[in-house]
Amino acid sequence: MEDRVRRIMASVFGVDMAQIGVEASAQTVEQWDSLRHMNLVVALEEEFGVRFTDQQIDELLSFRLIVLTLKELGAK
Amino acid sequence: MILKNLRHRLRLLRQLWLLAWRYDVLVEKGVTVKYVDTVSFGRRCTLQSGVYVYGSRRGNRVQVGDFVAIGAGGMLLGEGGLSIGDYTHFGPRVVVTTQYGDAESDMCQEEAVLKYAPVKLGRGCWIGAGAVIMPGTVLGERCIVAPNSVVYGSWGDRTSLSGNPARRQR
Repeated sequence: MEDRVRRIMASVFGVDMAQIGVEASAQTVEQWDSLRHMNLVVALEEEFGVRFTDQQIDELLSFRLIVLTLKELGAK
Repeated sequence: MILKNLRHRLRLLRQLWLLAWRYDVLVEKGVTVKYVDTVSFGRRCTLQSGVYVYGSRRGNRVQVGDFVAIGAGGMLLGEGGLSIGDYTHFGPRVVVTTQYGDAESDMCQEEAVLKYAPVKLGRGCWIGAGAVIMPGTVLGERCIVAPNSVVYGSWGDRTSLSGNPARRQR
């Protein structure tokens, strides 16, 4: 799952996959702005077949939180 | 100030005439087109009443295909580059934007600091009334967007979308 998340984040933010480490967050990835955040949300939902709540969308601000939330939603 | 406004209105009128002269477009009442030299239309397009088309000052193009209809009150902001495929129809008050505010900038400035991302809409898409197509959106062919949806991201052919953010209707 981590690699798929990393691939999607790299694609949405237009950066190399190597730049998306486990510590990647809205603070460390310069390209992570409000628009790309929504692009990331819809791309993750499509890839993993899940639907985030509005609160989860607000909180998906790091690689770790994304993976954790996807696991909570039962994504594989 | 009065002269400035008069000059501005004359410039807008000229752009509208240029549009009607160059392209096979039905232009209804109250249509505004800015930076017309960066805008192109295919055959038999319709701009209904109150449509606002903003071209690009940044070297990008607004390219509209054949038989495209933009519903009343629609807005196309093309600074970041915009392409609309043939036979695509917009309901009333659809907004397509290729620009968004940079919230990291000092927001109290004379001119807002904006970021840009191109939008590409495929052939034969139907966009419902009041929908907003956000910067960077890509729609394949024959996509349907429900009224008042807010669309982000890339979607393949024949996708039906609704909601905010718009999701695939399964």
